[in-house]
Amino acid sequence: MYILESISHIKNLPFKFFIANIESCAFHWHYDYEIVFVLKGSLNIRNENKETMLTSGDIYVFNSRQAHALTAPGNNICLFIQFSPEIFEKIGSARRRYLFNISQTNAERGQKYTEIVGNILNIYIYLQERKPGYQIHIEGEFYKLVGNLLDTREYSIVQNSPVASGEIDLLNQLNDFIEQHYAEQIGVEDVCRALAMSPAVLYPLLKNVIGLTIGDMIRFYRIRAAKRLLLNSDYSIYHIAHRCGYQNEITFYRAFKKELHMTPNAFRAQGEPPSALGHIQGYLAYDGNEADRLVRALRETLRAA
Amino acid sequence: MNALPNHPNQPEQPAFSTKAFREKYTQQARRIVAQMSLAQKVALMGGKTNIDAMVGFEIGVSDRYNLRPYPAGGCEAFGIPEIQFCDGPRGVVCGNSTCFPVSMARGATFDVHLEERIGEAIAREVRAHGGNFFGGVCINLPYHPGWGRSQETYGEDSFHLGQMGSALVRGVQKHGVIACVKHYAFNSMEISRYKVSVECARRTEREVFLPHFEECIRAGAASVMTAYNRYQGVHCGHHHYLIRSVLKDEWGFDGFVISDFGQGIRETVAPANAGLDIEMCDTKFYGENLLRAVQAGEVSQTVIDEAALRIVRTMLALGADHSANETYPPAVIACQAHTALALEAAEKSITLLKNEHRTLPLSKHNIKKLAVIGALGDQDNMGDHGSSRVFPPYAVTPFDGIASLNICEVFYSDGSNLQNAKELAQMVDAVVFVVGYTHEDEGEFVPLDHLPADTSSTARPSRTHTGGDRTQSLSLHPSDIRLIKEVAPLNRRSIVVLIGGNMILIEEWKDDVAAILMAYYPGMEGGTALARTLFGEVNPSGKLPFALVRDAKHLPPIQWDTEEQFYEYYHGYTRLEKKGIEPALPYGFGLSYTTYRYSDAAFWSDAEAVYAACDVENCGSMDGEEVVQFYVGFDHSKTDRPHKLLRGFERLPLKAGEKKRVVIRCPIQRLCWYNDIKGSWELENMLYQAYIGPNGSDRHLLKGSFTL
Repeated sequence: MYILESISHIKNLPFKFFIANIESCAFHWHYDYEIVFVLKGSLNIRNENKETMLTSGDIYVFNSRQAHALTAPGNNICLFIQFSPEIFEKIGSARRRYLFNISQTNAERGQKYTEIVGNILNIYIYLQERKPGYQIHIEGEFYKLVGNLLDTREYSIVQNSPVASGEIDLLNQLNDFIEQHYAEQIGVEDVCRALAMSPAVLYPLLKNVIGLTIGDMIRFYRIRAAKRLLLNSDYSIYHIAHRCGYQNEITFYRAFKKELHMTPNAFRAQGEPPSALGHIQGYLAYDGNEADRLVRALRETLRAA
Repeated sequence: MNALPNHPNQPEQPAFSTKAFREKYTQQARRIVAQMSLAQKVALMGGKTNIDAMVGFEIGVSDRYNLRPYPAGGCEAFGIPEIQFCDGPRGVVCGNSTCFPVSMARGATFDVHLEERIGEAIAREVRAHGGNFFGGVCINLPYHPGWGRSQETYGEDSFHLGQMGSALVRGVQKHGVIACVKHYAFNSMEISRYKVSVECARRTEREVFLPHFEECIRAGAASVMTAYNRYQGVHCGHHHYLIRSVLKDEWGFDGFVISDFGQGIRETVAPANAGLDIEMCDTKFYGENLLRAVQAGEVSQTVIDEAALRIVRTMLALGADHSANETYPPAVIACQAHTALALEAAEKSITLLKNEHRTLPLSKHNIKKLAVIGALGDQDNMGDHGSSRVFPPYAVTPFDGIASLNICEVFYSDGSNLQNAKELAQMVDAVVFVVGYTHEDEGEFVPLDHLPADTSSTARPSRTHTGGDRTQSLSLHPSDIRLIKEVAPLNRRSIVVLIGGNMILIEEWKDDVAAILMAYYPGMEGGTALARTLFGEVNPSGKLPFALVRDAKHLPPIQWDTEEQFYEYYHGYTRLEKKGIEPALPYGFGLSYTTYRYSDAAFWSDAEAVYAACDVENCGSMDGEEVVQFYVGFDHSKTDRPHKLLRGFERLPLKAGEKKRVVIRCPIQRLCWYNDIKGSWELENMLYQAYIGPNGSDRHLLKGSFTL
């Protein structure tokens, strides 16, 4: 079961794109926003306490840190775009989070829907064809997509995350603490002290809600930071390991391999391989040719309209 | 009795601010002027800033309007410094200065001491910018609340305007800065300001539109700016009667008169002979032209000597003021003390208009989630973008202000997507709608044909399609009304915050919401003040400086795009009372989170003044400040006079449970009427009604009488 999605961005692009045949995916959340577009089949979304059934042609936007679960009644093909909340720092202070309320189903497709779907399909095509300069096109298309999301006005902006009043809030607090302190020598005791909870209470709670241990979460943040440094800096592995809270390189290598099934050096050389998702349980293989055909057909339909 | 008397309890005036001090320099000034050449004297009378260069000011921030002070006059040979003009009034327009709430908001504080402190802060910043002249004491009386620049003035009542304007004058002139009172006179319409001629009866002129100017002159204002509009057919900048007869001769004004910029005067001879001392901010009709007019005998030497004497005397006195040697470093600009003052002013101005079921203040314990909805909820919306625009280093929006309290989770939606707004309203514990106006709806306006020919085409639309008067409606925008009516009923704690420079009608939607706050344009710290008010860290104490009508048809008729407009004797609350029209909310109205009990009223008079007194008790559990108002009634007059007029007010801090006795004094002369046949002020010997209480509604006032 995969819980905290490991999201890293295509090298030099501000977002990540992938296609999957979703079988199921337990409650999880991530810092990145996630747009899902159902190309084929259907997908059931559980979003905190609300359930939505998406069918082909529907779009849904998960907000940053919004817990969600996915299940599918049968085969499907879904396109996912994930991007960091930092995108919105271009238009406001870092304290502000954009909360989208976008669930475009058949009943309510307007002009903006057409444009947003068009953006997603274009990104797919650019990625498939990889014509010279596609990186520029794809980045442009991505920013248009985010701009179109804003144009729907289907969002609110929020400041001040709530103080613990429920499990989701607790998770956010936990995340905040670890995110701020992962580079230090923190352990389970420090986390429990920060949240003023005993391990005996915190452990089962975490296991039940997200299925992770505190150690898993600390490792997640450390590896996430390491991945960014590997891709975006020239620091030595030794230096990166220390900056990310590892006492020595061996622990770092072990943790990295556990999380990504590859060595830091290999990751640095290749970037995140498209197959990295393959190992995550719940995502099934899909027929690439079929996806290609569907995307092109849909794009023609939208153009005609 | 030809002049208005001093205000009661007038604070001691600082050196430069008194006419007596300035007149000590008459002889010295006379000697200097006697040695000056005609050209040197004429040079004192002109501005030095090319008007064409400043019109495109909205285009680039670097060469924006009044970024630095505008110089005028001066004579190096005789050591007479230039005037360095800085505009206002919501702060100093130059650089990145403190942005206070607009004057209308400060009017709602009814706090003359606060306004004086604001004047001091403004003067310190003027000095730090290298200025010595503040052109921001705007006291025009809004004849009709649709006037697009009424945000720059304090309210509809002449007495109140005079008190607030005088306070600003006193504050500004404490720090070696000349306070300039504007726009003299009858400047209460925007889109027609360059062409309209205002007509009115002599009594209207003297009793309604001029007393606040005289009050500010008495407070020591050393300069006056004329208006663009005409009065009885004559441009105010050319107006012999207004400038020479009334201002200089009758009121004994010793300072100098400047023109408004660009279109303030239209020729050379008439304004010079009328007594307009300085052409601003450029020299087009004075300078060479004035020199020629003197040589041709069209303007006499005496006129030039008089203007030069006034300018030189004022500048000598300014140089001799105790503040002349003080330094005002750049660090005072928008310093913490000044931004704190901007916050205090915003907090004291916000006016609570409705508070059903004690919805406000919001409880810090019960409100976990709050939504701010409306396009103005997250905007730096500090008012007009014309000549009064101040560029502060930062501004706190309502959304930011509420979030910064760290009390609850705060959501924001601009409300353009109704469905989204509805879902949000249902999810949260309270909704704050922030609605009203921006500089696009009301404010300074330059018609296309008044822009210089060489203005780039890109400059034109932005200056012509924004601002102006509210010619169509005094209501909220239809989209805001729809937003309130559809979304507010979904949350029992729906609060409307109104942003605007003058009255906004509330009848269409007031029953759909639990609470209403009028915030005016609350300045750079407006969001903080609003947040603190919503959560009860501040007890609202502002009072409406106008009567809020139920329907725009209850206001005096007006033609906005016109070459002629008649101003009737009655406007505002005096008009409503005369016609027996009930307002939505009376003049001076404002609720509090506590309740005040008024009792034991007493009214009496002596040889100089009339007095009103009463006990005011804070019966609630929260400390507060209450603005106590004193009105005098003229029902027994033999002539046509208002039912009553505001003749005094006092802001009274009262701790929870505290009771104080307040005494308000008004000089007897302020009860006079102007006998237009005899041309003098007259006191009627009769029984006067007297009222003291929390607002201008007869129902809420304690009544009594006195006989003179």
